[in-house]
Amino acid sequence: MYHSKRYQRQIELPEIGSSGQEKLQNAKVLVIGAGGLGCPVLQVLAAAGVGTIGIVDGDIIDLSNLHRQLLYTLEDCGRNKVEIAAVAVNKINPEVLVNTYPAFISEHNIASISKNYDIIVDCTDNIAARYLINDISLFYKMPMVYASIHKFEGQISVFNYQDGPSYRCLFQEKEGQNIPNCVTTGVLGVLPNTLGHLQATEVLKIILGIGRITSGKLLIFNALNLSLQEIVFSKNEHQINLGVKNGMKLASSSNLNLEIDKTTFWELSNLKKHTIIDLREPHETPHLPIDSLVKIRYASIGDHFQTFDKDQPIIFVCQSGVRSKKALQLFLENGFNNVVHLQKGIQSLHLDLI
Amino acid sequence: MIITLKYFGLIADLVNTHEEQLELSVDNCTSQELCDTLQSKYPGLVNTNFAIAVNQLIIQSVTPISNNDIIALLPPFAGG
Repeated sequence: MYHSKRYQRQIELPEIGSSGQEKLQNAKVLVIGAGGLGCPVLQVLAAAGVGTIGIVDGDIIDLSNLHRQLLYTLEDCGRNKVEIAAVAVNKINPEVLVNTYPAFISEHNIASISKNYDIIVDCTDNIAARYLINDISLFYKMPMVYASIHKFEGQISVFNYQDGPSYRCLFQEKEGQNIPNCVTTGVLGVLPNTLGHLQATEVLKIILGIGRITSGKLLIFNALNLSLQEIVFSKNEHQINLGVKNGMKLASSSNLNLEIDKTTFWELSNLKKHTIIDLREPHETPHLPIDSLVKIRYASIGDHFQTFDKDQPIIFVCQSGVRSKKALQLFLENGFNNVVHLQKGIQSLHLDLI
Repeated sequence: MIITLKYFGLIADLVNTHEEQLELSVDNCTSQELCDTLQSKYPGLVNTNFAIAVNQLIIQSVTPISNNDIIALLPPFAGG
């Protein structure tokens, strides 16, 4: 597939060749944020033939996005960004496998969404998300390709690359930070596209193993004087430890707190605040004696993201806890933030079979 | 001594320039003393998070500043 005419002009480069194209084909890149930075990153990675691309964004397309987010058109307004971005990406290159996560990144979903990728591209628009991305990328030892913008200026760097410095080594976390984004300050439409293209360049270089990666350096682009300034920074072990610790917490707590045992299950079910969803097939027994039980077969749970509110309290149950755990992940990846599952399943409840 | 200050992002908005030269009555000082001076000149800096680079190198602790140094104040950007 990677010898196809589509990639001929880049395969001709001795630095890439067919082995490079194969590396691109095998790469899995997660793009968090499908806005001003995310759109150009997705376009370039898809066109270059990156094999698997994940897109994370809980936002819908708004008319005020169109001056800079060039994957979207007028008729897409009001639709999910990830849905439209996935279609646009596959129009550019149908060979790309696209995974969509229509959710804002949070401490609950970042670990499960990112763990199967090789590189994370930070295209978000807030500081809190950047610390989350940094910490999980540090813990999973995958590089984080960062960019962010302010009016006519942009910053770009690669963090956690081959044990290099972290976002925290550059910007230490402070309480109560309120940093303005494009919504509050305005932005020149071409700027995030320029920065996104620089991010995509770094992603391709990392995958191909060519050139020098912008690790330990912050580049600051200024569109008004068309200048690029370079600032050097080094590793701060204390900050790295902070990040690793938090990354570990994100990776472990993301599932632990969402698994309930049978005691908690009966307590919650008596409170009657949760929607309890039984994922088993109709023939499976024992019957669960709960009045308001909702029965949705596991095979069709993916059709029910619109059935429930994103913050509605939900408990998934199945026979042994395997299907309920998978449903939980699926719902977390789709932006639900109040879901748990019964850890060892209905069989742990020891219900009478009659 | 004379030093050059470079401001970026939100901080350039706050101090209303991207670059300025500052003449200090002392021959040398520390990055902390310089920060205090700048914060009294520009009170908006007090609640602003930024990294400091001395001659293109981010400092991790209090660092001596001397004549002709170039100091950059770099806030994190949020937009995307």
